[in-house]
Amino acid sequence: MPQESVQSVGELRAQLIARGARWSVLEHLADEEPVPRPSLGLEPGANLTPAGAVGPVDLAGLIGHASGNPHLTRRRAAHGLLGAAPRTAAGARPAAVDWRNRWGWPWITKVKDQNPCGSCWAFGAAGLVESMARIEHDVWAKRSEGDVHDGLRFSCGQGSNPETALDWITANGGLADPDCWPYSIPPAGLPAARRDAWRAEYTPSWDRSGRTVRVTDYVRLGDVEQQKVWLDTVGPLTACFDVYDDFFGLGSGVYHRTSDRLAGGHCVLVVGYDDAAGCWLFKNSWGTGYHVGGYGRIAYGEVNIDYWAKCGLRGTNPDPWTKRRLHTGNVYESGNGRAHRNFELLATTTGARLQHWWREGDAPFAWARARTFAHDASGQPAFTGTTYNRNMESLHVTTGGRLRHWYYEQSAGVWRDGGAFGPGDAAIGSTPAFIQSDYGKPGNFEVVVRTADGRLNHWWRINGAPWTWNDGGRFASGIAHYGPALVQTRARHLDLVAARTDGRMQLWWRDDPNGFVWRAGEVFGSGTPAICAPCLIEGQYGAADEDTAGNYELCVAVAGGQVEHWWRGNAGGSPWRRSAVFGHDVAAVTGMLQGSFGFNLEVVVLRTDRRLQHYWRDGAGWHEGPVIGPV
Amino acid sequence: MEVRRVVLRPGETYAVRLTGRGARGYVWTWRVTGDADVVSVAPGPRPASPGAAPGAAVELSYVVRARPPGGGRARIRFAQVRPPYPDEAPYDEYVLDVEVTPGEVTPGGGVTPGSGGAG
Repeated sequence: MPQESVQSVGELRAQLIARGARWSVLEHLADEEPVPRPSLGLEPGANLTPAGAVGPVDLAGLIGHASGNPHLTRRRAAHGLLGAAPRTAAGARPAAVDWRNRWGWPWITKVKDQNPCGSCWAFGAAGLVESMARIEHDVWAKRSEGDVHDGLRFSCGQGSNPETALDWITANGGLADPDCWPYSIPPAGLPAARRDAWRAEYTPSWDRSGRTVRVTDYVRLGDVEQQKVWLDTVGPLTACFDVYDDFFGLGSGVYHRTSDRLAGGHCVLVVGYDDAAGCWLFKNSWGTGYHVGGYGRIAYGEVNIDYWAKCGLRGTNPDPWTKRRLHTGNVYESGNGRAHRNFELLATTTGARLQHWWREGDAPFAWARARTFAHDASGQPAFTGTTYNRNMESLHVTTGGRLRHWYYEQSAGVWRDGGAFGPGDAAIGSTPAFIQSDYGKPGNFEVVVRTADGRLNHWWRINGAPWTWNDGGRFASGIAHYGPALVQTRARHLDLVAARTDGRMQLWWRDDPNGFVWRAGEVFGSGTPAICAPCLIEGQYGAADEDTAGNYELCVAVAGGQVEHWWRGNAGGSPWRRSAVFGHDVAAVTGMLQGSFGFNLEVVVLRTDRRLQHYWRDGAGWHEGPVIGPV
Repeated sequence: MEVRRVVLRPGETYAVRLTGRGARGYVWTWRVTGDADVVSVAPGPRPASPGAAPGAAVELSYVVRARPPGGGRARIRFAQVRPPYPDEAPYDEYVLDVEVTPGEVTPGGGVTPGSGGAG
């Protein structure tokens, strides 16, 4: 019989029994298979703060305000962290928190795999940014660990810590998405001896400033009770600990050390706790093969997990790229304002000009006028934010039947005329569809507008020299109304919905692999004719994780002056269904978004009295909001 | 893959130093073939590695001991793997061919320092 590794899984199992361990070895490992070895653990490093050096922090000062997430506002109130509310001493904190699912929603991105690099610290930090963007803004924001790892010019084998990563993210405009700069590993075939020294040459796409989740600051928490309050009222925390030989075998149960052999230092994302079991719940970055689907439990205080300060975030500011499918028409949520959730709105005003309105992201949520610009707008514009330094971009049909592009230059604070282009026979008074796609970096602009002959005309611009707009051709016919209803799907093709002359709606999609031909899709409607262009977004309902498409949400004004809300389940393939009819005296739906307000849907309508009004939907249904002003 | 050969007398030991990547989920496993009874392998003392950062590689040692009565050849194949992913290729491998000469146990059998495991 050949001799094999000294400690087998069976021996570890026997060891666990002998020591009365409360955890079990991975079930898929056979007794005769080997378990780990290694050595060395975390030692005081240059930028990893001991918990004792932090001490208690002023939680009320840090998070003593309402959150965009209404659940968190309630939790903060329960802890007495809001205003003059009485502080609840004991009993405010739940016995367990698990951010994988709270209040019926998922908040944590999928388990990733750092293999084979020593980048746990980057994965912990990126997981923190992803989860906080989700919690604070109700959006999946997949981030790139490579952005911070390679931005720091670290090699594959180089260890570090989450504080170094968060310092870099804070100082370098946030953390970008993988398409801007991916996490990469040494090429296959590179000898093991050279893999640890390998490093990626960091060259993110040049529109990085428009595709990062920005972070203003992070918080070190040293007090375990405050860490649990933070988990309850804010979100996950990074944590570092010593890894011992037996940790590699951790399956279910609560890990406590049974081995004396140190294997290294490691960092993870703590996504919850359980007082009954006396443990932290963590998301590891070794793929789903470890522990239970990549999630494990470590007993409080074990392996120095409470020796080091844990890090939390609040005040994330997602980029327009992350939210590109969540808005359409003349309204969108920018990152401006204290809470990074101001609404920005454009609407026509006297003299064929455009008026910029905005709404602060905190109470009392009053609408205010900003600047006016343009002089030839025939109808409501399409409004969006792009990866160009988060500029706001506007596009309208001119009084002459062309299209005109304006953009708000964030760095200078001024609106600039981007010039006119387009068919010359665009339907006067209509609103074009206007999105930034992921063709190229920065992504192309894609525009579809209804023409006077009831067809649809696609225009696109490559966002690089010579910056010219290109006619993508005409398609469809018998289109009565078309406007802000264009979405680039996860499969990258374009979807749109238009209202036909028979009053029903129809989906059209572009078949990219087969010559970029537009093809007719399903027809739907209630029988009450649509009287305006539908507004279409891909929302967060149905998006079980960051890679799953959310439902389509569509609002359209129909005969009788009401709004019909329709949805289609993209992940499950469920057909279009009408979920509600609401409103009164509505002439058109001009804009729609799902923003940072508890997954609410927000709609702006143009009333028959030529005034704009806000409607919104929460868990209780649709509500009539304020009249914003005249157009 | 690095291959080394060493000749030991019974009782003599040889220290293998390998790069540990435990913070990435990797462990060193080994398998002895040939005259498996002539050697034993065990984790050695932890070398000094001050201030290693989370995720960083660390140095590990393993001790190969020649067992009496000797007179055989064994091949020890070390492989650095992630246990839950048996289909993955090892990150690193190291092979030590050991010839154990016949004879009595060497009194106080010394440790022959060695090295191995690229990276």
